[in-house]
Amino acid sequence: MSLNPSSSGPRSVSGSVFLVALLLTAGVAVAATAGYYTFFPAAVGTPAGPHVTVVDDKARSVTAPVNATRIVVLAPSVMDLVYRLNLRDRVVGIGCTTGIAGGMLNEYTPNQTADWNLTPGMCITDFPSLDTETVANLSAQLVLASTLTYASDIATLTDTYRIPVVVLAPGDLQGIVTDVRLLAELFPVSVTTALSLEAQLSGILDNASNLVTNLSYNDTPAPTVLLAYYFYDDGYGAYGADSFGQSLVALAGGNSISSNLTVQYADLNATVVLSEQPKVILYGTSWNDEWIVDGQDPAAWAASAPYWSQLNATKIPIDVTLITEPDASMILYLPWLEHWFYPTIVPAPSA
Amino acid sequence: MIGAASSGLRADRATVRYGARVAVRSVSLEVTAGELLALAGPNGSGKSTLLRAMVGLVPLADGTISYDGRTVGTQPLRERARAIGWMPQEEEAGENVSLEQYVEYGRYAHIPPFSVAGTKDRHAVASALTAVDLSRFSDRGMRELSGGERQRARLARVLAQESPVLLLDEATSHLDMGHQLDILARVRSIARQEGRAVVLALHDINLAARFADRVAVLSRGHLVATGPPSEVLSSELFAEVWGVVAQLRRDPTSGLPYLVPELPRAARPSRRPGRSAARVHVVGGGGSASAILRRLSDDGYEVSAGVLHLFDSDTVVADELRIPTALEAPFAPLGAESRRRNGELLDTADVIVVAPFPVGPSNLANLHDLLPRVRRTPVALVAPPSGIPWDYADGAGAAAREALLLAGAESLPGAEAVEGWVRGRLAATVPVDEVPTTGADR
Amino acid sequence: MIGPTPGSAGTAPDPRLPRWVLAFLGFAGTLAALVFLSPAFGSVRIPWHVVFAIILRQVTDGAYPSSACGSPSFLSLYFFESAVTREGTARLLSGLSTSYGARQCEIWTTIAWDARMPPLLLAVFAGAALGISGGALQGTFRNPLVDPYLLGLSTGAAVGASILFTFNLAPAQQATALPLLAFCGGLVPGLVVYLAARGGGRSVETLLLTGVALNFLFSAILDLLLLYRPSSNINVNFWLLGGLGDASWTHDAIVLSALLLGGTAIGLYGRELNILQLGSDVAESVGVDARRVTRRIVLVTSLLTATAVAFTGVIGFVGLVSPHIARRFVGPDYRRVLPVVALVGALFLTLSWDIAETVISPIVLPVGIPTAFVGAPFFLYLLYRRRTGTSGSPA
Repeated sequence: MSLNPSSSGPRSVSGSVFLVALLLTAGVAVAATAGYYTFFPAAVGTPAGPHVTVVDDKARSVTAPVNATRIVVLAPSVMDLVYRLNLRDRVVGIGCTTGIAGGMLNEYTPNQTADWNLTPGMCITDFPSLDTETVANLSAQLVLASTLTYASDIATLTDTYRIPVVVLAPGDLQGIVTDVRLLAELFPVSVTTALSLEAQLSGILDNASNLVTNLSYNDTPAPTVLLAYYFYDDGYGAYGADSFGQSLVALAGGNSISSNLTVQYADLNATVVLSEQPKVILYGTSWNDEWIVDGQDPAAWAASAPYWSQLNATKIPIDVTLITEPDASMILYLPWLEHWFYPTIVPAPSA
Repeated sequence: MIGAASSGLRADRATVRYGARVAVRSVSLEVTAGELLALAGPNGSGKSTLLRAMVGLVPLADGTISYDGRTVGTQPLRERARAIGWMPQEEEAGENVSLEQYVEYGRYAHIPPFSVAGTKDRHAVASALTAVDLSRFSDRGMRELSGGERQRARLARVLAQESPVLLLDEATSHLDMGHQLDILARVRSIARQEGRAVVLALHDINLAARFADRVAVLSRGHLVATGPPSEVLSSELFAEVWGVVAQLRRDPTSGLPYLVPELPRAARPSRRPGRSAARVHVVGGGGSASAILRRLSDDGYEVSAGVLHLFDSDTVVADELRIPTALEAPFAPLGAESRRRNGELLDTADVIVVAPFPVGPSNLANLHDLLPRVRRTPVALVAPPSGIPWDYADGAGAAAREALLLAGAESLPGAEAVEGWVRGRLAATVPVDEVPTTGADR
Repeated sequence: MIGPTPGSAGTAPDPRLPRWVLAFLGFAGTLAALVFLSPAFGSVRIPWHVVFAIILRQVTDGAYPSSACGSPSFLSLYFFESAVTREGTARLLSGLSTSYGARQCEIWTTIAWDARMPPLLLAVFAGAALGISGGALQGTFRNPLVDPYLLGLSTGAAVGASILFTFNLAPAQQATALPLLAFCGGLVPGLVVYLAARGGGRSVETLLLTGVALNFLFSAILDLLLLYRPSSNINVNFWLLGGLGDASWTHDAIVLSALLLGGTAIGLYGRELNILQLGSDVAESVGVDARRVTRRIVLVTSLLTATAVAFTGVIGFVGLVSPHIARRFVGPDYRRVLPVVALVGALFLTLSWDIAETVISPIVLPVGIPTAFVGAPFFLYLLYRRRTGTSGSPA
């Protein structure tokens, strides 16, 4: 039972009611003003000059200036296509994990850096979040993002800075070809180059599927393949189902021993590898592995992998970016895989 | 002025329970405007709980407490705070606000919401500080005050509430004597002049008797007595409620009663098994022997006194202590009857102590009568304090003293030495193992 | 409050402003200065005079100054700026015009106003909300170690956020759904404590312990959710550390409204909070409904803190340390402490946000890290300094 029923005198009730009403009004007014400006923002002018509307790989409809002269590229896989379409001169900034997280060479191999003529000055931090201010400060007209770019960063670019963002995120090898076409839409100046590149890539993909069909028709056995991007004490890092690595191996006519793994990047126990005894082992090497720095031979390094000496297979080191970055280089590598899987049938591609 | 229109606080069969324990049992009492009611009782008797119930902080299990006809607890909090002020026995230390700020807290109920303190409030604060004599500390921080000052500050806060009813729980327990009396006097005058009804919970019943118009005594939650102090106070009450034997005395100045607890009596030292206990005869008068009589009595000796005049202060003490006394009429010279009686007492005493009484013609015989006994019985003469005249018999007193000393009486420097001398004298005539220690602690 | 009071006879009126007014003005001034200076910092460095001009233009709707990036002849800040940069000095020495191109100006305006101002203002408003909540709760619970999160608000909000990440709810409207879920999650423990307080007869210790127990409970729920979907771990962790980077004007408006409403409601209880320090018994005897005041403050601070946390994630220390700082400057009177603690909280969080943005630029630290790094040592300093000195003089 309450001993102290609370009630204020009549004078103070009207006082507090008035005050509450005043504050409520103030709060509503502030919220309404903010809401108005947010939901009815000043009209977004269409970009000056000619523009084109495309649908990107995330099904976003984006309006961008045609043949933009200042573009920012946020991933090496995108940079590969941009370079091949002769658009490198338009790139004013690239996404890097700068500063304490690694630096430009953490994302781009020395070969890539040299081929694409990249300098650290072009770096824009993209981890843990994208440095959108620098993107804006570079007067970028278009940002080419990848699947790794955060939605919140894309939102900041489009909403706050009104810079269009096109996301290139191919889901499979065919998607890479689609991306070439997408870039051609954005940069009509590169149409000729794009068309020939598209033809080249499609040709490789078609050849590959034809080869597979023929081989199976002739009952040629598909070699068991291990595509490993890493190894450790008791296992190998391999590619599971739905991964680019897996589709590469399949398209090249190989039978990946890790195809049943559900995760894209999965661990394969070394004993399983030993029992499977794949015919071909392709192991990825990264440019900044210690053994490279030490000047070692890749074969000597690989000898420390589990059960390595007991695996009777053709063991071939490959650049890991060729199987992790979904771009033209990946497709162009396909003929090599075909050659290694079927050395007697498919000749080595001309370098 | 303040409580002019009110009809006082009334508790009607108020009962408070803490779980299964009953803290206040069906207490009914009433305080009217202008009256100071003291709530006395030992710790745990329910005084604080009753006060809390009166201010509405604990719920009543039964009965009602009402003010001005309305049950406490049914009004809004602010209204009740304007009517009843409560000073707790203890409160949390709080922050280091200034004393003035702290006392202003008492004005909360008078300041309307969204307003600041006004002139009236400031005046109330100032007069409250004056009432507890803390005005000069008004800028000091609360944590910089002593315990007694904090207690007075608490009282000031409650006074500032200007409530017609004041409930004070042990308002003076931390204060030194001077402040205690001062504060209580002020509280009483505030009650009378401002027409407030004051309930003051005290565990010191003598203070209660001194200042209260009425006293209510609680014992284990029951109300055992209510009424004016002279009616309520008695040794029996004291023994029943506090469990201590006490004597009821009257303050000579005010005529008010007060209780003095008796000290526990030690075992009496005996001379030999079978013989009566050691007896000390004290010769005195004019107040000189009072302390000696009390001490010896407390130590457990049988004491006798004489010859004392009626209504002499030593006689009063002897009477209270039920000491056999040879008496004489006031101011009369010692007569044959009284001297004979005194002689009996002297002859049967084991030791004799002569207090430094003022000697005059009417009681010179007290000294003369000692001469024949001084060889038989140890006699001690306590030296009179220097500088104070004691011989009003034209030198006959001094002469008698000299004679006694020459005859073998011993001189003691002061009343404090009496106990030791008596003990020593008695031990000298008694085997060591039969003399128990006295052990009574003053 | 200003000037002599009757009773302190003989003291001449003090012509200087009282200490608390000076503290209030000092904090407000510093905060205003920070708001004007902070947008200059970030991965793109904008000259101070340009920032100042941009803000003025936005506030006056383009009226003044006519160009944000014109020659700053009237601003001495420029000279300081130019003196510390080589190019600035060179420019000054060579007497070149210091106005910048229109395109650059446009970009800078977008960066400073559209990108940097909303998170900055969120820091100000959320910091004020946390500060005033912390101050009110420390007063209500009469405990200097209470902060708004003790009642379980932060873990409740974290549970709300992690529910969204774990079950991948509303991925398209995440920007709206996340604060909403975090807000609801944060309210649940606050409401439980409020209902407990309503139940009657609960001491403040019991309420505090209720909050602590809820904290543990929600922590366990959070761990369960993270266990269920470990991949959502990184999102939740980032949210838990606190971040202001996703702030928008709408977020600012919502937090500001909550701050105005809640802060005023709390501020009105200043006198009651003072009296509550003496204990709820004494407070009630004087006319303060201690339980009702406690209930209301718990409710309002829950709403206010949950709103702030919903948009900022969990940022610790602001609600704990700001009241102590405020009390140090202003004294123990809550009528003065509450306005000042809002300023202190805002200042603290804004400063931490500035540090988070600049210390390893261009990477932005989660805000919870600098608040802890700055707040913890400062708190220790306050604690140990107090021991050696007096316990503070009355204001």
